[in-house]
Amino acid sequence: MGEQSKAIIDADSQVYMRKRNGTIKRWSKLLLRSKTGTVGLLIVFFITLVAVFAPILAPHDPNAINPGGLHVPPSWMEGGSAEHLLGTDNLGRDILSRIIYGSQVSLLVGIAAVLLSGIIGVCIGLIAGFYGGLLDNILMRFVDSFLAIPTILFSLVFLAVFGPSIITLIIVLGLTNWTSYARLVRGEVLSIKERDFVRAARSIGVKNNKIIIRHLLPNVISTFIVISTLSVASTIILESSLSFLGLGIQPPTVSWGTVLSDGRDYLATSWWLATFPGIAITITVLGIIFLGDWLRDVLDPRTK
Amino acid sequence: MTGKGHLLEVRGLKKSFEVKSGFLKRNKNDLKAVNDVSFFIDAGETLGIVGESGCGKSTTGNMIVQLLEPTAGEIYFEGEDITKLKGEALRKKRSDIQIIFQDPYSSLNPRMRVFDLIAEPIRTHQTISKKVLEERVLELMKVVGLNPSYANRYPHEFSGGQRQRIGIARAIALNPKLIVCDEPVSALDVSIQSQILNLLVKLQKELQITYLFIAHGLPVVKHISDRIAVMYLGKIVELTTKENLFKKPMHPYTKGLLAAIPVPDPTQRDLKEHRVLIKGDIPNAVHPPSGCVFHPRCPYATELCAQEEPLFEEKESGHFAACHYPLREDKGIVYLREGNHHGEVHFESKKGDARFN
Amino acid sequence: MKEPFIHIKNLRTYFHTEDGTVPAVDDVSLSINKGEILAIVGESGSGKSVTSLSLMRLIDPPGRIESGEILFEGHNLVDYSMKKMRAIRGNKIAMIFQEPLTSLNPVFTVGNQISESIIEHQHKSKKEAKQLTIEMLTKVGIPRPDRVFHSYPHALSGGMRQRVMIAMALSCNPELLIADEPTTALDVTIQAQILHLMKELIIEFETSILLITHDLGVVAEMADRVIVMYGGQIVEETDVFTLFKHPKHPYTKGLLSSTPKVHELKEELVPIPGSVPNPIDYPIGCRFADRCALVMETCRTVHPELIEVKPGHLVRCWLHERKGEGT
Repeated sequence: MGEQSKAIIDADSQVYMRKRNGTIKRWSKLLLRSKTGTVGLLIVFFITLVAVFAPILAPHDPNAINPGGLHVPPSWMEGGSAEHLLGTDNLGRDILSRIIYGSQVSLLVGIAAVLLSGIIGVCIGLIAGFYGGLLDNILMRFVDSFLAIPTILFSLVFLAVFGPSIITLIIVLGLTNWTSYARLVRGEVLSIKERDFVRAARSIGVKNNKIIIRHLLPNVISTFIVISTLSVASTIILESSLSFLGLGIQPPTVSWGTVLSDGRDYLATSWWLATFPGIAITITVLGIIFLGDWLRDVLDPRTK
Repeated sequence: MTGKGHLLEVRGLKKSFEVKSGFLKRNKNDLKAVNDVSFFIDAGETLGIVGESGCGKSTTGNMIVQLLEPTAGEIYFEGEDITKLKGEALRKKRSDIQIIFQDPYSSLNPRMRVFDLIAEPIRTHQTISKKVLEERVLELMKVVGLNPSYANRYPHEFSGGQRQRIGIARAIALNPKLIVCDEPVSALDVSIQSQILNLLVKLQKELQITYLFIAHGLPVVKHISDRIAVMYLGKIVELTTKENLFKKPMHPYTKGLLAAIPVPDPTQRDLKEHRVLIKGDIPNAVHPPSGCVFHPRCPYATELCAQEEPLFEEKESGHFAACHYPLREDKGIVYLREGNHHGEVHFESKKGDARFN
Repeated sequence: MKEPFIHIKNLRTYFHTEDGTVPAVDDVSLSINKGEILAIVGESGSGKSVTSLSLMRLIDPPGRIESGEILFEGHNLVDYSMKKMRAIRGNKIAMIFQEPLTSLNPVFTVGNQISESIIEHQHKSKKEAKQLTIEMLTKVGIPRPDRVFHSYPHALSGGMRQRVMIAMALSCNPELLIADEPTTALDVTIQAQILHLMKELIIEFETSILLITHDLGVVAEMADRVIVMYGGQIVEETDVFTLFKHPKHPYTKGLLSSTPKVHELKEELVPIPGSVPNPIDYPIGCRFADRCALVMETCRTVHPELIEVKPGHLVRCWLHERKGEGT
């Protein structure tokens, strides 16, 4: 290599290095351009703030019972009071405070359980799809048999054995959901594996673990994001069902699920009991889905 | 002999795939994709393999780069049977034998930057400093005619021809001795094809690479190859130097292939009316014809051809063919002419072929 | 003298994509004579396929025919309703595609699909349609046509499928057959068979062919007249013999010299350098200027017009503009 061409390459490598730092810029550009992405980020950011600062933001103790003010309607309705913005429940507890406190557990359980099931499912899907053969057969039959167990039954037994707590709840919710990830990711891997770039990596002599991490994982991540954002919603709902059965979040801890299930019996008379936690869940889930959409776009280099 | 002297020698190579059909997939059949193929390549030369779809040319290439395991046969590379290699030894050997894929769109990971794509083979086999790696990658980009300031881009930002250049840079990154080019230009536009072909020729001269060049069309193979093997239904039917193959094809299939190629010269149209068209379709490789696999489509086939499989043998010095009745001289159609294509060329057209029995 | 029966005048078909507008067909005018084979040659992105799809009014959003006329039997097809177009498609103008498998419905038998189009367009009875279908299958050289009649597309080989497509296309005796890369997906020995078949059949059916291809070899064997497209525009138009012997446009010359010629021993491939310009952002001057060896000052600043340098020989190039003015 001559001196001159070395100088040119040095100059080129500077161009290359400079451009490398454009990632953050691209992310924020894509975020600002995508309206739904911005809305999603704002919602998720807002709810996280609420969860973190719940003790400061909540006007009342979420568990303070007030026998004098049962079923107080929201403040803008007849009979409502400014003290209880979203009304009170059957025990006179302030709904707004319960929702604010409930965000802590719901967010934590929803996101942690989805991540847990995602990690298990993606790993098993990657391994089964990539190695194929007997290993694939064993893993997939395991997935099938897991699918055959009714979710609620499994959760009940698990929680009955290990005792209900936030940690066991996350584990049980994570364990019930991973099979769908495993099947989807495996299917995806089976098709990506046949693409030439994976064969190209093999022909170069790239080790299997590197092929999985560098070539397969980045190409299944968008599938993972789409289904995981959608399943945050079902996880929050499932948590509420378990709480309803008395095996989920134990009082005095509050979650959206418990607030929602507490209000279920009074839908006809005091609609606000179940409606407001329902709205909170809907908004959060929408925010996460929007954010997921943007994330999927950002992770795909083809999006400009 | 253990294949010494040749860079690559392939002996009795076979590959079968199991095909299931029928109700509940109960009928199992073997598809003999490659059926007893032998050839060698000397260092520095280019061997072309041509054939139509399903002839086994790509399967052969994939076995040589060890992406497929042969059902039977040996592949000697520098005297060593590489089909016996396993694990780490195989992984190391891969740096000597590289492949360029047909489809420049699917052969590059869409989520990796060009820099990382070209660096991948180097990182896999060598531990070098970041600075040296960077220099090497950017130099490779220059060598294949890519602007090094694009190192940070993703494959989708490039055209098909440029993507194929990335693929070539990856293939030459480890200074391999042999590169299997698996139809590297079939997915490209005509004007880009010749760019890539010329680049491959240039690299061969500069880096002393040996090519196994696979293509489905003779025109492309002819441009780059020293010797050419013609494959049909998993077998090599003819193998000889480029000149021999075009001047005096021995196998009727080769002759038919030559006659079928459309000539970019309208003045030759009437002349081509006399050509022998190969009739019929390529048979199913699961149930190949008896005897000579080409006999159902061959205009010269006899009883013998349907019964006995011809041996692949040296009919003349350096001219191998598998045919009971090899064509010796062909006066019917001139396949090759030595003038330049702008000049007037006159053809003599006599019907019929003189051949020995 | 052959009579033109289709005129395309100043056709513009644009695709409005997220990144910008792609002028896929940009001011294309051509006419097709009765009984001739007109070839449109070009590389990917040249607009050759979009031209033929526009002629069939098969442009889907984000694409749109912006302006221009397609005159056929005295009517402008651009103004036709989709219902009126359906009566033309498959009946008066038929089309065959590169990959026959995707243009045949996998869940119906071959015979079913051909006779359906005959019943639809020619108002024949089911029995007559079947008879006609088998007749057509025989004509396209399908062995045992009564068996193929009852086969599903996937059971046939690529060559057989393309024969079926041709049978289907010609079953209603169309005046024009558009063949969009009809042999690109086929092996060379099968390609030779199909090309041969097409040549025979158009004499029998007195059909004109608009042949879309990238292969100059196919053009040389088939075409009467040739149109070379580049960047959505016609850059050269002439009869096939002149095109190969006296090409005028540097792009045509480049294509010829970069095509490997199997029948010559010594050859040098002279590639056209660079790649096709981005269609969203075509240069203001000649679209080929960046890749042209003979580029001049004018080429980069002023867009050349398509002019007639000799009767029937049109070129879009500044080199020939000057000569044209001189004579």
